Amino acid sequence: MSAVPQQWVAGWGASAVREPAAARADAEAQRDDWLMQQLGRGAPHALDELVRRYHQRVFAFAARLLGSVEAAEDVTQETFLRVLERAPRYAPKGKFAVWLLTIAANLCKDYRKQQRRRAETSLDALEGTEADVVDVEEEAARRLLFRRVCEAGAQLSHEHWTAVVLKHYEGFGYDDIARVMGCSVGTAKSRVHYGLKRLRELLGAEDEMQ
Amino acid sequence: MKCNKISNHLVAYALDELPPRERQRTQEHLAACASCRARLHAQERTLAALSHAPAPTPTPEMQRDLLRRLHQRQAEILEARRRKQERWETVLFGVTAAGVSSAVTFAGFTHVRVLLPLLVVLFLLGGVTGGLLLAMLAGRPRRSEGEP
Repeated sequence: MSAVPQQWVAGWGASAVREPAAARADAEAQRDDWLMQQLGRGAPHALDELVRRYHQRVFAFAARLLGSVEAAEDVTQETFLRVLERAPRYAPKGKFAVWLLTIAANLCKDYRKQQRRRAETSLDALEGTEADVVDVEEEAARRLLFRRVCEAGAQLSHEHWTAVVLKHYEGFGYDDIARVMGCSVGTAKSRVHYGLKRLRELLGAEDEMQ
Repeated sequence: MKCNKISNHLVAYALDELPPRERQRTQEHLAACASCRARLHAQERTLAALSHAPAPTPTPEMQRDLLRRLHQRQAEILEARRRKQERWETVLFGVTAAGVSSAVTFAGFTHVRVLLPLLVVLFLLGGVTGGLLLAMLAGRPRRSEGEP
């Protein structure tokens, strides 16, 4: 097993005292790149750690985009398989999370196209997923809200909904959204704004009906 | 500012992305216009709904399945790489051996005093090149591009 690079260890040092959040983000990014290098060399521990770090995030991202647990599971699996296959050629040009979610977003887009062809949706599958059930009614309300949000999102175009999810849930800046979506920063911003405006109309209309 | 212009700014206002001057003008309009205030509240409710909607968490079984499948695939990839490396090593060994034996045979039919130094040089060059290529292949797995 290779040793952890010195620059990564040093990431926890003096700079961490000056700007804790930025230093932590840098250290995390270096750790991701190092793990990808290790994965490219065939290290199984790198695979385990990457899955531990990103499984929940990719799964949640896909579940929000597709509104289906089975679909999210398939897309998550395919995303990590692609990461594994591309690891030897991985060049750390930006944030690993942006690269990873670009793969996931493209797979979601393909999945949505196929789904439209098959005209099937499976939001009911959400009932079977694990969650921190504190209160049954509260949990039911949260699931209902998730369903409503996903249904409203499904009425947007894939580009608008993806932009909203990346902005709102992943906390990405417009430059990172533009990278994931392969568009300009201005287009990314306009997709987020239009998507949120349209969601206001869709969710507002539902409120009025209820 | 008119209502239709404010309507286009409401998302940016709710996300706190407007420059100070635009923000000030939007606030002035909102103070005077009830319908735009209602739209803004609807936008804020939408953002709150998005924030409160949880995403399902993958179960431990899902993670176990994922890791099992990934390790299986990783083993296949590593096996394929090993086979490819072995193929290259065999080819290189064959080429080097053929070159050396041809040189020796050729030397046997020619005047030894003239060709002996040339043969020695060729043999050394062939050995060094073959050795380097084998060392490069044996040094795998390769380092990824862009490594710092």
